[in-house]
Amino acid sequence: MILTTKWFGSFLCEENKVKRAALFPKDPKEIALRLEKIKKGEVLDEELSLASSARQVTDRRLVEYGRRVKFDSSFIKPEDYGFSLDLYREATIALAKQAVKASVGPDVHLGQAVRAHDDLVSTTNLLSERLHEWYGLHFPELENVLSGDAYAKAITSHGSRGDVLKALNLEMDSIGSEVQEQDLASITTLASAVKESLSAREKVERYINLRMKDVAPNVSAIAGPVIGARLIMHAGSLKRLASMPSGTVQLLGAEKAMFRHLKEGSRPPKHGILFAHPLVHNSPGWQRGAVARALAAKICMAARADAYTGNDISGELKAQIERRVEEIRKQHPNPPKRARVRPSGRKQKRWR
Amino acid sequence: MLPDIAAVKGLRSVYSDGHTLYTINASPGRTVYGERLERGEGVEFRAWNPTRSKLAALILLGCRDLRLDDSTKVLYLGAASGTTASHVSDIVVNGCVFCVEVSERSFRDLVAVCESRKNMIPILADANQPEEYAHMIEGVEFVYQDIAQRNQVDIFVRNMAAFEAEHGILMLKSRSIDVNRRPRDVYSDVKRSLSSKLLKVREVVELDRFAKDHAAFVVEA
Repeated sequence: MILTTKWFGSFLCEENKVKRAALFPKDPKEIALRLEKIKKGEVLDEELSLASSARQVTDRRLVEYGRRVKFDSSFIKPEDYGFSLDLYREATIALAKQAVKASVGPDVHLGQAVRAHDDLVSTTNLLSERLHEWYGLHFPELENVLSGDAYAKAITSHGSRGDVLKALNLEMDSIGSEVQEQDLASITTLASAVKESLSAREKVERYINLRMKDVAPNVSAIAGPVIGARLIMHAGSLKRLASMPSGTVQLLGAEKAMFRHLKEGSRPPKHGILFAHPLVHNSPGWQRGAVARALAAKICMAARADAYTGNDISGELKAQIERRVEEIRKQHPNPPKRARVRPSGRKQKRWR
Repeated sequence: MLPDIAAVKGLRSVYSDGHTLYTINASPGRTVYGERLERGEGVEFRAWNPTRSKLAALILLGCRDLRLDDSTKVLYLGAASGTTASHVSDIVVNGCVFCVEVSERSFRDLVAVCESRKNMIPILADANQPEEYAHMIEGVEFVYQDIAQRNQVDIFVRNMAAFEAEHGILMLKSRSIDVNRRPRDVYSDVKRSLSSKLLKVREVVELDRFAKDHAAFVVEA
């Protein structure tokens, strides 16, 4: 007899007739529980109760009770056993809610943190640009003395030019105009917003750092926590990053340029997210491709170690990448000669 | 005032006022993706946006022979947030739509849509592995697939076979199969490979007007 399981019960069949049935309770929660078990590959009690007389089975989970066969069980209708579609719908929705709840792992938070970090960086830049512009009306020279965090801090805690100068023990002539009390109040409001978002950025960065040490210590050490987290987010998960070829890792985040290259024959990209890595962007342009390639290779190995063995190989990898970058620097100290630019205005069809 | 909405000729449960398509809202008062609602005689119509939903695009481009009636059981692969799936659920009011989606983020929105509709069933699974969700599906007659994957044709063929569906629509994104090739070349290849799997391609409609480099394959087993 063939053992098959449907969403409302398990059945023993012979020649398209149900011989014995073990129905599930008519309760959405109970059905959801069983569907969940099936998903995990476990064997249900209902199936066990019928298994002894089974010769063949329809599901991979049940292979120890019989030979697996293909079997059309559509003749077993839920209505015949008093199960309605509504009941089933409720069960699947309960199951779906559980699945949604369970789908949030640490890497999801890491992904959101990286995005939040990016957002904070861009808003901080935007706001601080405005602050410099606005406070510059009153005291343009301050940005020569202080920068970044300190600039915003000085304005929030001291306010006017005179007070700032006093606090910094400085004396200088300013070409800035005088401001009224209420103007200054607005400027300090903006300054405190800048200060706040700068500190938020730092906190998020610290969080990413901490989390990455947990989730992917090797990648974090080679690529840096933020870039590492961004790579993982882009790949989908650490496992997926680990299973990517290094050429793909090198170009993660440069998909647009890559497809433009494939489609229209423009020059291929050398780096994607990895451009933000100091080793890459501090290298002169003609070395960046090679450096990014080497870096991507090491990041791949780091990701594999993190995803599978869990060994700490960051020291070795770091030494290797440093050696390789040194080599690249020696091999190509000077920019290559420029290729002759074609005189015709027509777009080059294929990059060579 | 009641708008001048009439059934689209040759299609049951799809309506039009001359330029916009509508379906009858199966969960009155609710919208799924911010679409417009119109009161009709005793029913509520839901505007169906062809730039958001390729099935609406397909109907607007003249395809009438969908083989979806009010009691069809549909397997919907790649349901995403349930935009098109909700309109399919409007069309097959007495049938059922089994919505399969892998992405957990989209699935969250999909579950919310399913909760407000009596005939939609959410399944978090990978359409690549029909056997993983086979036990959750009951008597499917129609497979609708909108999955932008390189092996989308293979997924479609395997699901059609696994559930012995009689009809199906494959929404094909040619750029997912090969960015470099001309979409038309991809379409003809796909048509050939569907035929080689004993599926009869009744119609191929290019959807470029609404969805660039996409085509709909209306298929019969």
